[in-house]
Amino acid sequence: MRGLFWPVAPQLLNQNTLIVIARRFFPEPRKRFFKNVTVAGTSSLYEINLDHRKLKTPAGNLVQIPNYGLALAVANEWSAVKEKIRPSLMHLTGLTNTVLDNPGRTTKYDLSGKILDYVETDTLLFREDGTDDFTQLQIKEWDPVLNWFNERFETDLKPCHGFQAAEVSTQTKERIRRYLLSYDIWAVNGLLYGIEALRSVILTLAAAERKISAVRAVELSRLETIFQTSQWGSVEWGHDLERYDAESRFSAALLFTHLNTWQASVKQKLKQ
Amino acid sequence: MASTTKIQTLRSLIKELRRSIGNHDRVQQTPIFSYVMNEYRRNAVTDQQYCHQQEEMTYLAETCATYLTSSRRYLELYDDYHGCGERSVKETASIVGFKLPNEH
Repeated sequence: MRGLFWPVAPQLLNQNTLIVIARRFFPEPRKRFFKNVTVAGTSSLYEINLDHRKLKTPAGNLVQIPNYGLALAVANEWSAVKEKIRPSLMHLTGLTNTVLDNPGRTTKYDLSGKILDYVETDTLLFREDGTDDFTQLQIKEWDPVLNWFNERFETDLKPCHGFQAAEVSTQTKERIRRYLLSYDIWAVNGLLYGIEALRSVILTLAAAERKISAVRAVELSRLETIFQTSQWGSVEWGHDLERYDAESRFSAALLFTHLNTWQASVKQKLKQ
Repeated sequence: MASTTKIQTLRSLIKELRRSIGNHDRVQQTPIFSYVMNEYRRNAVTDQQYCHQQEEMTYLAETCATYLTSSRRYLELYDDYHGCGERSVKETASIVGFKLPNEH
């Protein structure tokens, strides 16, 4: 047997194709196996240590973060683990892993194209027909943000009615694309995650520009749920759970975007 | 933004950080605490500094506090309602505020 395989052994060892490693799927979450979480690194790249082990991504790459604030925030997610590790709730770690592993082999340009696909079906553009309370509420709450967005990005987004998606001109899309491309891939990944949590490009960009707070953005995206629950009553394990999920996802995405664009610049006053 | 709001945001952030770490640790000794405090001190307006991003910093701190709060509440609700198998009749009744009659 050994003689049979020997001629192909160097090829097997040097093969460049992707090797698929079978992993066990853990239905039960892993227990916390570490005690101390520390951040180590030089001024450009930071690593996270769980006791003496280094934190790695699912693909096996080392987690190396170019931003100290973000590294601390990710480390805090790990030190906040009480008994069981639930990776699906650690959004900052998840986003960092996505950027480092890049499983879809995406670039910044692909991601901004993906974001632009969401513009036509933005939550803020879908309006209720009629003249009841909810329509009034939508006009009162959503229009100021929409107007601000149109002014800030020099776009002409208009709300639509009925089943048809809104019509968005190429010029509008190009203006939004130009804004998105001013960010790096880390920040664009954060924005996309936020947009998917709120289903709204307008609200996410308004929060990224610090026009509205994260809580307010989530509130605006859930306007219909809030309106309906105010009439029919809310269910804790349904509506509240959904709210906290959206809030934590969106604020994580926003935090990720802002921390990655965080530049410290101190200017000294000129001496007279 | 008024300075009281800034301090309030900082307080809520520190409070959440304290909750997120273990019971036997002190929040003052964690690196994230010193990072937050340094950022706050560095961006405090003095005569010598021109601060461009004070509001950005407060916004960041607020977002961070929101993240910690919502994640914690989500986990609390999740632990309450999910993943503990089927409920007994007594537990189900207590969710909607009823009590079972005494069984004897």
